[in-house]
Amino acid sequence: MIVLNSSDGATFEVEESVAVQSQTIKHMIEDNCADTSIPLPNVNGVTLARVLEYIKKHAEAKDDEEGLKSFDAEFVKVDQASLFEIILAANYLDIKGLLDLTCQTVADQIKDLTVEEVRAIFNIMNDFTPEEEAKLRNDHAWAFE
Amino acid sequence: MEALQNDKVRNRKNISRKDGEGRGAMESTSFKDFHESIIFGILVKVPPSYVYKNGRLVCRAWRDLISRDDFIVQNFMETKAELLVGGPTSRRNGFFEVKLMEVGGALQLDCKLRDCGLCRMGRPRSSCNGLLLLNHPKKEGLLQVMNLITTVGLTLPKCPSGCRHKACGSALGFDPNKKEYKVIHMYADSFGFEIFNLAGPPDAAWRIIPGPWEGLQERPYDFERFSWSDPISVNGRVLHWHVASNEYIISMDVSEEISTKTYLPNISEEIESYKYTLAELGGYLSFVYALSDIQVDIWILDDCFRGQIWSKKHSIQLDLIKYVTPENSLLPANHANALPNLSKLVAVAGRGCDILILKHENSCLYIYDMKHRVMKKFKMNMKNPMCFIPHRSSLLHWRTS
Repeated sequence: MIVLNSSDGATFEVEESVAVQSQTIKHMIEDNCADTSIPLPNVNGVTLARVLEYIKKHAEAKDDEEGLKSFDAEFVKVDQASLFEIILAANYLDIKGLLDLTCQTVADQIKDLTVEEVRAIFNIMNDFTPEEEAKLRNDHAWAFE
Repeated sequence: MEALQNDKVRNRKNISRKDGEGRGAMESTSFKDFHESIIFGILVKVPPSYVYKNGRLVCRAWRDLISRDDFIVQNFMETKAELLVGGPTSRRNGFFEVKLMEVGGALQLDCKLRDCGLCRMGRPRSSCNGLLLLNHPKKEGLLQVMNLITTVGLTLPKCPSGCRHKACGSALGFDPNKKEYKVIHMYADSFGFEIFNLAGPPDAAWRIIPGPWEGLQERPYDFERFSWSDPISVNGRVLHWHVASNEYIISMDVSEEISTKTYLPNISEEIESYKYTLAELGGYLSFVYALSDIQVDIWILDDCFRGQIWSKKHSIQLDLIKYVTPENSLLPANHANALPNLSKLVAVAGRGCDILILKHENSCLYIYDMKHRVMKKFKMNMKNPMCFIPHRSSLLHWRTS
């Protein structure tokens, strides 16, 4: 069993065979940094719990394609902020399947949004000058060489 | 969307800001890169048409990210295969209306036609990596290559053969060895194949290589009635032309530029050339033969250059088909449920490994799933659909590496 410590002090126990779905944790174990417990200062308790839910399910139901598909679909039905937290955690912990799933979910959401709505979600400022913006919007003429 | 305001407040604490105010123990410089790799990971999964139309306008960082070659290539890898459907808008001019068809949904048989963003263009001929080869809509005898989303394009010089591109077989292919795109054109086989490299110098010309036959008597087709048609492209690497022969088709590897005869499979009877069509299926060439009104056989070519091995993939049998009525059918049940006469269906394209799209003489499409033997009719909102080209959207330019 591996012990994981979240940024806010929560402790989680998980089987090593399950935990190694995270390449980050796998390398820490291989480099012998995991004798007592593994500190994860970049992931809070709530998010770590969710991530563990994902990797546990994917370890135990490995061959059940249909079951995993519906689990994944339900798993991503969370609010925007939580989804971003999970993405950051999956990226830090290097869990490819979870990262692909969550990125795809966000991708599917933003493809129906306006530019302003996308900026709001990612908290991005519009740094274009009006001329630059106009040029990009009108770049639709038949640009033939 | 209602939760947006609350999320905005929460996100301020959790999502990175450009000034590097990060979370916990992360360095400000690595945090900024880390953030970019996540945006990259999300945006590559967004369809290229949206990325181009809206993604570029979000901010400078996104605009620059989207223009990177590595982004464009990865974004293309994630796009879904669709079918480009084109039909002439009128008989008097060369304009075509073009729509993109997605096949999906439960049972993978629901079709959705959507606009491609351009109201009219010339006749589409071939698609490769999101680039389209088309006839020039106004100037007869000229071909164009264009990215359907960015509309960046190139008009090719006139073919040396003088072909007006109304009855010829052309395709856009990709040579993976030299990493370049080529247009391969065939009009008169005694004249030869005409090939144009897209990445050449501005004054580049068409090259001519010999046609597939040495003497006039070798031609399998009836001179009075035959004209070349656009070949089937398998992954943009190999082209296959139907030459109205009972024995073989003509194949060419885009990289090697040598035409060869690919002999047809040994089916249970004598092949008659008007009974078969070719289509791309799951990355392979398929030979679809209408044995009778109630049976159509589908064969797959495993490798045309090393052994020419065909295997019979499936047999569509009328009495085994589970027919699904279209939801919005206004016709009475027994009429709408009528299965088509299989010999009147022409295979026009494949979708993945198990789905075949067939066209009936009356312009309706039938989608057939080989795995479950399910067939569904799809009536399209297009006057006279005549081109069915497998297509995958991208933002690629013919010079993108």
